[in-house]
Amino acid sequence: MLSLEALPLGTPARIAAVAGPSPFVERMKELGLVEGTVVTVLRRSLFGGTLQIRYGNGTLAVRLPFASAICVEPVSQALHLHEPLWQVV
Amino acid sequence: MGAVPQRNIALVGIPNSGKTTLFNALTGARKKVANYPGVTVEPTVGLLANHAEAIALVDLPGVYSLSPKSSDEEITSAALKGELRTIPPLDGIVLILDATNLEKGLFLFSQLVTLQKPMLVALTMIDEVKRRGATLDDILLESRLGVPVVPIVGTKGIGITELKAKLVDRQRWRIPPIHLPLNASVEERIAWARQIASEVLRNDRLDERTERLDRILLHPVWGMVAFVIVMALIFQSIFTWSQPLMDAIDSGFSTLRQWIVGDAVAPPLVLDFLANGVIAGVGSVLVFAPQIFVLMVLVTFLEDTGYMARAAFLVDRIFGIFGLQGRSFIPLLSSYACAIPGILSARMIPSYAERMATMLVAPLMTCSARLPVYTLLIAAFVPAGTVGGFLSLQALVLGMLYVAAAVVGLVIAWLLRKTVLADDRTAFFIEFPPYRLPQWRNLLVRATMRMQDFVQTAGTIILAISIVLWALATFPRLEPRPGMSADEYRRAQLEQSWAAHVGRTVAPIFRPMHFDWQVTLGIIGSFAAREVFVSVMGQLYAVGQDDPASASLRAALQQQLSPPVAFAVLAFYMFALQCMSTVAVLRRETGSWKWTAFAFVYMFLLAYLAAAGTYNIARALLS
Repeated sequence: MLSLEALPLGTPARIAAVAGPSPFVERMKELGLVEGTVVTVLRRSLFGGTLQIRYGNGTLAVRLPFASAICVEPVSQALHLHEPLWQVV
Repeated sequence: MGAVPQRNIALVGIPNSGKTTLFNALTGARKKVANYPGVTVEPTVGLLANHAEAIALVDLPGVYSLSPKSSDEEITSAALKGELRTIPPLDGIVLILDATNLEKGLFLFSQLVTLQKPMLVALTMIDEVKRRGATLDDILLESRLGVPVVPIVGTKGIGITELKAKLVDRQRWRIPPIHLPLNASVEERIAWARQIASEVLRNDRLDERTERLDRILLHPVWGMVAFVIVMALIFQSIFTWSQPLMDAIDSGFSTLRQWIVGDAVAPPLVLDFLANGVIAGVGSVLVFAPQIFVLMVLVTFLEDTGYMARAAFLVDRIFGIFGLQGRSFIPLLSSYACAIPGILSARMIPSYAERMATMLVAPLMTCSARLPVYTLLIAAFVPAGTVGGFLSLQALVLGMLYVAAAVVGLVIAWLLRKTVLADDRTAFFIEFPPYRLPQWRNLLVRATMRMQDFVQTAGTIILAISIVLWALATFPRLEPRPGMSADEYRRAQLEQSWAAHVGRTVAPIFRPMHFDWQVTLGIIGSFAAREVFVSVMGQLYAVGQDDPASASLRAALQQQLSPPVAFAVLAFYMFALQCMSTVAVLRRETGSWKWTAFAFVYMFLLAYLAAAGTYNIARALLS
């Protein structure tokens, strides 16, 4: 298990847990970043502060201290465009 | 007309769901409260006429859920639960469901169900999902949700009439059936939303166009190149597109004033009031309108196309250090032209603390109204030599004033976010809407409304202050002595006016930097606008000259002011909130006199300390 921050770019991973203060965790979940959702880090902003992640059919940028509070497990296979865009355990 | 029963209906949606666009399309020009229709921060009410009853449409700030994480979301959540006193109890809710962002919207729907109010769903952006090759079954969606679903294609105006028809017809509204336990967890609601989304939206895939554009526009090198070009264009266009109009308004109003007062040495009081109180005041309100319009069109364009989120992402880290965020960039950049459109454009910043911090430091950026003061004093007191043989010393000083203002502004923002605006609920994410073409009509309507809102709300305050300033400079009235020229009369009148009296009374405050009562009078007069300092100096010292490039004015100042005092004046204007229009806009946009007073006081203290420090350092160095 590793934090989203440590996940190499372009590697799909499944969310295992979201930690942190409660309003933050709740908002992450409300945005669809619940356990089991597959996410991919697309890129980092200038100076590395903010991550752009893809999940479902859209993308979201998360600031770093918060992004590192998301724990993920890499999934073995890369997802292809024709597969379901998100997968729940 | 007798009392018409009124139904109150809320428009709710997640941020960027096209809610405000729809609100404008539904209410058109029929607004009860002509509040701004920008990216919503406070509820806006519009009226929808119908023969039987009046419908008040309440445009609530966008939310992701009913458990608020910010003060903006608190407004919506409280209004929906009937806890907001300013919003009457709601008779129905229209959810704006963005087809490109179905999951989040359906999650919000699942929470709205718990309120058990009559509902309608307006399904927007269906043309976007179709363009991607997906199909969306709105009939299935309607049967799964249990409330009417009206598909809307905003660009073509399809569905608006149908939605209006359903809005006014009580029979069409349905209280949604409860499909999840009322206390269902977030996970359960998300799972439900995904289930429904996967049923109604077939063959959805990533948006190729968005993916391709992101690869360029978020590229570490090309993305930054594009960013710089876009921002340079914005900055340039505030000047080039609005300057001709501003100049026209400016000269139009002074011609009008000239025409009213004529050549009389001392025009009759009524005419003087009309020309220099009212018309000058109205002119100083309207002169901002072109800049506001141009910037609002551009900002709305960037927001609607989806580029704004990308631009914010690119510089988010840098502004994050100072407690601001990527979207603070445009307000601060625009403030280099003028703080008024800058502060108005801060509305697009989604979180309260970051929005407030941006607005509170925006007036520190070196706006173009400071330039006449800077040019005059630098030309008069900074030697014309060069540094290192090529860099003009005067240009260097001017450049330093610009840079120092930005640095101080960012540091102040950081301080504010550590103290009075500390808020850990700050936005920690940016959503990336798919790129799409903007709706030109909506763009123009929104920009026009922001302009009207400025003229009506901030304009009233500006007009009031400018009349007060006129009265201060006009009373007590001096009778012209025979043979006095108009310039001599103006000078004599100003020197014995209440304004001068106030200047003499408060001048001791400026003792540490040795501002005499004339400079103090200039500072008081320039509360109308900073560049007025130049014309007050012109009236007092070099009869009639108010051109900052005037050699006789420069010479007069060199005689009247010592260099340390002149540098202290420069330092003062760098920081002081010497602008009634900015004060009025801050009042409008922060919604409180308290924050406005805070801004004025902290900038005054900053200016005061900087002036005192500059005076003493300059005196030590120059003696």
